[in-house]
Amino acid sequence: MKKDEEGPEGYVQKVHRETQRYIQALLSENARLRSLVERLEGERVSLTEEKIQLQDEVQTLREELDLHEQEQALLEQQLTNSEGESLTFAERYVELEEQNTNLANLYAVSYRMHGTLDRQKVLKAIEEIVINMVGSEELAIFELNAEGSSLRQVSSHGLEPGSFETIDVGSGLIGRVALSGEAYLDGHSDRSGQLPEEAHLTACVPLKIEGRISGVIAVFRLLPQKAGILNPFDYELLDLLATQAATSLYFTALHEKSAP
Amino acid sequence: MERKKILLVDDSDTVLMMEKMVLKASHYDLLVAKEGQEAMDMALSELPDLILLDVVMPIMDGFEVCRKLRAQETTRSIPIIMVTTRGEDRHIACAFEAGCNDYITKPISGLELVSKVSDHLSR
Repeated sequence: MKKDEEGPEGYVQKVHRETQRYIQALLSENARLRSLVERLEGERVSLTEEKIQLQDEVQTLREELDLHEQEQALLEQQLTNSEGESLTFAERYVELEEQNTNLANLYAVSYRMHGTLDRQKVLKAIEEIVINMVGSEELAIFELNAEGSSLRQVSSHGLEPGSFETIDVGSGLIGRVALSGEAYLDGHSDRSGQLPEEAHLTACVPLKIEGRISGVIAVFRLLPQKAGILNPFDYELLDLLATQAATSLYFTALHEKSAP
Repeated sequence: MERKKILLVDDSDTVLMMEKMVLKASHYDLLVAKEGQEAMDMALSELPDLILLDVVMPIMDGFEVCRKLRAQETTRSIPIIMVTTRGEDRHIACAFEAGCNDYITKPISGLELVSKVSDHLSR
């Protein structure tokens, strides 16, 4: 500023003008900032309202979620119950099918034993039953001689020819069954006194009529799928077979004697 | 609904009786043949929906019957379940080589029989 050219008054006026401009600029800036504050305040209010609205929505969703979770828990419980019931039904079904099979087997045994008066057919039926229902392809059927002193083989399947032609009553496991009338069941009966050829004997059941022993059925090695084990139903089946076979063989003998 | 027709083939009356009793409850029409040639004839004339075929039979065994049925156009796709006393792997392999779809070992489990028959009939 050239003080000398304009003089003190000019200088003062110039300062005054500059000051006025500066104040004007400040006022403008102030107004702009006020406007900005107002706009932001408006936006804040709007955002607060929006936030409240969103919080309400979140709360509603939480409630719905809780409700769904409760429903899910209920459905899971029902599913667990249904699975439990389904398992029970499945077990029951298996049990019934097994019973059905067992009854079918018992019926077939009974029917086959009494369906003929032909002795050879009865012996063949006994073999079939042991092979197909008990699960052994090695068996022999013995009958007691008139004196009751020895057993004579009347039929066999899967055994070496000539083996077990006769057995003295009381000798070995098979002879012991003929003497005592008590069945021999591998794993349940005493093996002491067994003969070498009885090493593979699995079961031996007496043929009895009215308590009188007429012979025995001896079952040796089981089929591979039986894994060497007779189950409780096999015992039941063998017991029924022995009883029915004894009666049937007795009737065939009577029939042969009475035949002209 | 039309009842499914099953041909039971076995030379043992005991086994046939047992199979009939177990399957009767499932309401199938059951046909019976007691030897291989009879089974062939019945399969060709009746065209059953499934055949339950015993392996060990006199004259013509189950393997041969199975092979012959597979060679015939009309019986080629009939499901065959072999029933065998021999549960060893090599016997099972022979059964599949002959063309069977499945097998059951003796003594027959009713549950296994019913479920396998039902399974093959529903395919």
